[in-house]
Amino acid sequence: MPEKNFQVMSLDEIYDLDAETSPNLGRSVVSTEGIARHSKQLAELIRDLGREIAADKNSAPAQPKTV
Amino acid sequence: MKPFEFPVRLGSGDWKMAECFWASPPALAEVMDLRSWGVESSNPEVVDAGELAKLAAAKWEATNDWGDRAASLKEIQDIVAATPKAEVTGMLLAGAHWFPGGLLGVCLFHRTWPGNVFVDFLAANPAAIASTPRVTGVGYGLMCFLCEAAIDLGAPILWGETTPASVRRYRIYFESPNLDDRLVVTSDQMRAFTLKTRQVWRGVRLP
Repeated sequence: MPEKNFQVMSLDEIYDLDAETSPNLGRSVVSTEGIARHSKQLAELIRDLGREIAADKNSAPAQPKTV
Repeated sequence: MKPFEFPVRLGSGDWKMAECFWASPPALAEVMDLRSWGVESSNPEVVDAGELAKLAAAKWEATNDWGDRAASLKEIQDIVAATPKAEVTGMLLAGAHWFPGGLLGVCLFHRTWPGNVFVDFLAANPAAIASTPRVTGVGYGLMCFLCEAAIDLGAPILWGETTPASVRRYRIYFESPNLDDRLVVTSDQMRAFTLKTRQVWRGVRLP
């Protein structure tokens, strides 16, 4: 179906188009696969950090009690 | 220089004014703001917008260090008058005092050596896209401001690179049904677009 002619579009139609489409111009390095890969790496990093924190807690010397 | 005012729509019906203005080098506060753009989203276009803003900030900073940049149309015209093949970068920002953080959009561009205008990056703030109510019309306003600058510079062509999610918008704006990743806009198309835009903006009824 052909697109509407911009010259006859109403104010609301033009702003609806703005809501329906992205204005982005230029090349970013972000891709759908990249987001998934990054999320996976982040999840692994958080898991590793959690393990490290748990190990540190277990190996920490007992703190002397202060009165 | 007086900012260029334009209307944005909140949700489906409320209108507010925003403005476009030239970044004044080095524009450190704005660069810091652009670097912070980004929201958690599974929508690649929203993530992309944050990425484009960061890249625009990085290129703007590099241009400040090593290149020619301008804070107004007149500055570009003065540089070009002295050096006709000068490549000069400018950064246009959209903002509004009522929007948290202030900045709504960014457009980094440069005047190329033969006198065309290349859009390095154009993006709306992901927070404006994700806000409730959603702010619409930021990219539209920036494109109008950019086209008017390109016309005033006497640029025969405005060019850039679309994304899969933005190509439809630019096909409609410039009535180029075959437009693909290569955004190429002639001065006649820029004029038709800006004239129509000015006409529809006169119909906005602010509260």
